[in-house]
Amino acid sequence: MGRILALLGKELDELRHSRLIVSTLVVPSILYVALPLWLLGSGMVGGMLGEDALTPRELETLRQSLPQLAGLSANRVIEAFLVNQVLILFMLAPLFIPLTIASYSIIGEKQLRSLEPLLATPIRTWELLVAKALGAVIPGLLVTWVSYAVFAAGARLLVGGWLFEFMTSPTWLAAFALVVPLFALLAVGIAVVASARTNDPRAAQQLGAVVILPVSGLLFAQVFGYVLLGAWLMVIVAAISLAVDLCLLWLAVRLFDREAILTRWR
Amino acid sequence: MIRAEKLGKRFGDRWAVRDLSIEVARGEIFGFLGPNGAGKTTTVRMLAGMIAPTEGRAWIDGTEIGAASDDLRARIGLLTEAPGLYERLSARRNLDLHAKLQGLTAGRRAERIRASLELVGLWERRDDRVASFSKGMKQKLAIARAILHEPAAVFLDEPTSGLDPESARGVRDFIGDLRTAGCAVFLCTHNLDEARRLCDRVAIFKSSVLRLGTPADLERTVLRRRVAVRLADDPARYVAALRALPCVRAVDVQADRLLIELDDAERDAPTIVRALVGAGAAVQRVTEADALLEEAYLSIVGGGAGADANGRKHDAISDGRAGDGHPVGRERHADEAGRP
Repeated sequence: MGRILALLGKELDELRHSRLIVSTLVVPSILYVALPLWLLGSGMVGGMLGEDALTPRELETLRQSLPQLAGLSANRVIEAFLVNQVLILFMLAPLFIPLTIASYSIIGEKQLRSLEPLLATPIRTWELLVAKALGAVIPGLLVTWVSYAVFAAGARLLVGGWLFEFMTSPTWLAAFALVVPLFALLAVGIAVVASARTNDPRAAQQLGAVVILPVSGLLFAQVFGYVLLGAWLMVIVAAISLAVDLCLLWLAVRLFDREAILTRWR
Repeated sequence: MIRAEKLGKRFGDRWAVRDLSIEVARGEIFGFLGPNGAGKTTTVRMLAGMIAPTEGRAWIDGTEIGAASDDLRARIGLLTEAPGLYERLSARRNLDLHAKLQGLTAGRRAERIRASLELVGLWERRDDRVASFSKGMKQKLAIARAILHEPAAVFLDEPTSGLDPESARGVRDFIGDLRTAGCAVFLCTHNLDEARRLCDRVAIFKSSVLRLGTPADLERTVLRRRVAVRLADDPARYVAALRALPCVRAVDVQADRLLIELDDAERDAPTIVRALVGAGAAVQRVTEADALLEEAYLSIVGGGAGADANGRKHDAISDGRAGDGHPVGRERHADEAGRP
């Protein structure tokens, strides 16, 4: 455990000193939180869209898919729908942030040739893998959870308690507590596999992005109204993510073998 | 301290290392010389418990590498060919990470980090980012990292590669100090002069050990000794007289001097000086030019005495140790009367 914490501390220290990655983490997160809050707070959502922005049939569909909206006015349904889409966007962060961090971290070590001195210490390769994974997952989760918390608190302040309750429904809480970490692990697994095969962090990110495209596709399908993420769909997404995570973990452990890193990683 | 018995490593169909049997004692600097791709790094990785051998066995400080390799690495220090430092972090933070990974307690960590940084002259720069260091400073920091946990055996891969002469000298002095501290030092190098100056014994290696001995042994056994004689007049005039001597193997004229190859320079030098003076030559200087380790190396690796890269077999010319570990100087000057 001591060795994992030591390496994790180094990972977080390095991250803190990387302006590129820190700005990649912080700037979009601020924008994702600030813009929708500004829209909600200014009342522009109702103003722009108006009561008749959605047909009665569309409103009914939304109310059926999101039972928390039953009985709310059309304006509030629209506000809740906007919030729903933003929360979906927040769920992309734990995919892309850990992917970026892990790619730069592992490939950075390859480029600096610092893995060999590390592997010459008593550290076990699984400890190395866990520390690298945590070093990428923790910032991704923190950014996502903090954004979620700030957005929920801001929405309560600016719009009202009913929106806060909608955002902290059991479905959304389960999504952020369970699905988000699974997404983060998925991204790290992909980064490890991709990083073993390339020496360019951007190439690893692009490769990773291709693999996580189906997940992004599902989330964007929700944004554009093709599917609605209810409780059941969330459970299915969680189950599929868990299965893929386990496969990637198996593969990552095989790739993160001391001898393989030293003799086959290029 | 470091022992290998018939150690071998195969990648696919190719043997990178085969039939390696060596022993390095505490307080000994063992040079491992070979061309690029000879298998030196693979050997170090096996001996340091980082990759498993395909065949054979090895021990560090009496513990066999293999199942216990994770713990064994706490007794090994490794300087890799590239320093492999975290450039965004300070020198102290780099060492602190490795001290933690080596399992040093907090108090011991602080003490060892300070001692190691002071030893390589970087204590004043301890809180500076490594990115701001010169190449020589990075190399010194990597060495400090390798000896931070006071390992019993240290593996150094090209420690002075790419350094300016002053930094290289500092690193060499430091390696000499490791011997004094009782470390077994396994030194991979391309720098034959460095091997000659530092190593008690050297192995010339190309997949397997081609030759093993003290640098002086290798030079003496592989090549005959030569004597250089500088004359005031035309040296070509005396070639015939020298060739007539039975102890002379060959004579070359190089500008104002004669390069004479002998069976035994110390025994035969007075004879050739007498012959030259007798023939009317004005001898200005006689220099006994030892055969260089470089020449011995090239002779062996270039296919002279050894074996092929994947095949067999070396003939160890000597297993002796140098008395003080410091080979004699390259040239010994004689006075004009020809006394070497």
